[in-house]
Amino acid sequence: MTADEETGARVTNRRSRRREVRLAYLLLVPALIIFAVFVFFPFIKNFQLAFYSTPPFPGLPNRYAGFSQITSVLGSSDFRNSLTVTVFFAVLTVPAGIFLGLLLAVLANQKLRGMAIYRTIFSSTIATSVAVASVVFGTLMSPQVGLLPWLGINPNPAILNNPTLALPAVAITTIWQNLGLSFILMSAGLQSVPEDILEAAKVDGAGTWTCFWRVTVPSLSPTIFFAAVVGSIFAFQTFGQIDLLTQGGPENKTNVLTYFIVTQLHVHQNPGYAAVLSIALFLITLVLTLLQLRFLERRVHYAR
Amino acid sequence: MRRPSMRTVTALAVAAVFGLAALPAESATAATSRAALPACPLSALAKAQHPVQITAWHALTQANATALQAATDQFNSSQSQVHVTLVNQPQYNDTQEKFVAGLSTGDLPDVAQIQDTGLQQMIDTHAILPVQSCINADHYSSQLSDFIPRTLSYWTVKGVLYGMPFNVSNPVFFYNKTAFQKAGLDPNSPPQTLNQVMVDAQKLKASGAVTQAGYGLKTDPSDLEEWVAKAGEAYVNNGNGRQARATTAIFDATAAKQVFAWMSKMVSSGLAVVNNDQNTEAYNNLLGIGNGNQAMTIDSSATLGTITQLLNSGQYPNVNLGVGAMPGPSGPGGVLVGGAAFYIVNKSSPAKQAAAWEYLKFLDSPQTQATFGAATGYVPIRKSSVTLPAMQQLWAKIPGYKVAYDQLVTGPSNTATAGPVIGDYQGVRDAVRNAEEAMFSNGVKSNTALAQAVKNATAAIQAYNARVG
Repeated sequence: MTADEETGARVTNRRSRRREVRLAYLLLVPALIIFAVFVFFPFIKNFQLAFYSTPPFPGLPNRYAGFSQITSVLGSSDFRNSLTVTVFFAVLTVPAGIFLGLLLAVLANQKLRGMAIYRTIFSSTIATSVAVASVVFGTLMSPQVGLLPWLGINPNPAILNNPTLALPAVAITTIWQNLGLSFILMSAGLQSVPEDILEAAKVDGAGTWTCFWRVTVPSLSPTIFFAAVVGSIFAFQTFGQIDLLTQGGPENKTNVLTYFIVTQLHVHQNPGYAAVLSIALFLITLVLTLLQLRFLERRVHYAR
Repeated sequence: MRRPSMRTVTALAVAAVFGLAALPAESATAATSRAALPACPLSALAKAQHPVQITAWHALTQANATALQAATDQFNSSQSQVHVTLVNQPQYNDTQEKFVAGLSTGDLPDVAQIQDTGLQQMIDTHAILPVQSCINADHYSSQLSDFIPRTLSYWTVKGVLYGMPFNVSNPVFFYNKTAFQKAGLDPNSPPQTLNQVMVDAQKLKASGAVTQAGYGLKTDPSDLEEWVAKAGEAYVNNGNGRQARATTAIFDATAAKQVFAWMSKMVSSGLAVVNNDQNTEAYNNLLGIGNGNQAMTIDSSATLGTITQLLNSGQYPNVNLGVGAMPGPSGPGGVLVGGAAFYIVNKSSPAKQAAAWEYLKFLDSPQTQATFGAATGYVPIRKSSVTLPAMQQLWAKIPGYKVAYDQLVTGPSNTATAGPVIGDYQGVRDAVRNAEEAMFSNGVKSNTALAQAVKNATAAIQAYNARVG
């Protein structure tokens, strides 16, 4: 091949590639438009809103507040309280959810007859909506008709109206509701635990506990980490349980970030304030997602 | 007290409509307040093509919704100029949220039923035609003397009536007569003061007439508004927000101090059980009476219809329900109006606004109010309604229904009993509820809790004002 021919081929190549790229962009246009209208525009608008003191009703002017609104919202005791509550909620729900999911998955992983029934039962809460879980637990804990008061557990104020007990009660509801997902994740993870290593460990005289802690758990670590990150993101986006069970009360002790945002927007009609809060939530979730991406990359490496 | 001032305002406004062009050199303040009142386009209805179709949003449910539909059907068939279509919204809050959203999208009704607390926000939307305009234009003011004064004063700010009161209720005292008898108390004399509630609660508990505690305490912040009004005190400054926009909460006076101390003592000594006022637990105070756990509580008179239905079903054989006036601090005041009003939306065409006014007049006629009141348990807002057979029969059958009416006509009409007008009502109520919860669970002293409530309430008021001002 002469130099000229080579150049000619490269040009044709480049041309066809350019044509392909053009086609690709053309095909992306519909999706881009939809994303632009429903995701990018609101997203950018939200950043803009964060700098304005907004009136409760359309028609009145937005007043530029600059960074003062951002600092006053993020420095407020309400925001600090909400952040603390949310982090505490994540701490209550995520490790317990993973632990219970793992426990059930290991139990259901035994090769025994009828195990499919247990697997179905353990994973069943994945088909339960937040609303259903909340109503079920709300009824169980109700001071007038509930099971717990009937058993003699009846503090005054009642569980969901009690600043110390309300958040743990919502957390238990959430753990129960997320248990199905956790169980399925852990079960899937268990499939990838290398049988040969387990066999080898057993041959070397390792007991059940040693096998579990030294082989199963390390092999599961990517799954566990994934579950922890996803669980934390879920925890930071918790809304339904709070809305149905406690409405952020008592004493704002269950006023998680998402619920705080929604009440600022819809109850107090304060879009500017809510915008600052949602940016804060976005940044937190972003950090969690980056962690997850980085780890998943490592997992690919690990699997090799 | 109130009616003459109403008339004065009406006269002034009428004079303004006729005299504004001729007398431009009047005092500046009077001129602005008159200019602020828009005209009610009454004549547009006659010129329009009939029937004029209008849409009304409401948030009533069950029997109440049926009763409103019946009244609306009756209005539609009674004349041929206006036809009203009712659109049901899930809750009062949803209606208000949807209304605010509609201000941007244009999806608005011609008439909207908005809860009591929505008054300041409705004024601030600048999207409503004050019914005062139509009262003046239609020479309706002669009818106003037949309205229970407080139903008018609640929706009146700076002398202008904004919403047309429709369904009105107020809190009453519910107690179980059977338990009272068991405890050796007179089942026909419910406690009149908070102190008596405490004494009765002790007797109920000591005698074993209740399993848990004598009193079911609902952390409903609106009860504090009522107690403060009963004592004749103002809740917020600037005449409860009636003379000018309220800027600070001032409810930490004698009444609230007394009530907070009482609540704190009731709970700490185990005489009261704390009940939530929000979510699904909002009626635990009433269920508690049904289950025999408690025997006394305070709740809205509007619940009486549902309670009566439940009791008639035979589910609670040990309950013989008594209804009494709301006990609490006494003074030159009385209970407040609760419930909702209908607002005319000024974004609609003039013909539709005029049509809306015709509809509202019909809803507030003595006959409609009597029929609606009898079907729902809401207090009829017309004095002459209660002389009509529908109400007389209801009161003869279930005397409990009369209590809310009697409370509303007892006591003076002043700024205290007109009730507070607040922009961020929710924020103020959250402040009060949080303070109560801190007092009940964390042992915060009642005066400290109250001071905190006032501070946070003021912050909420000022944050709202800063955004509309």
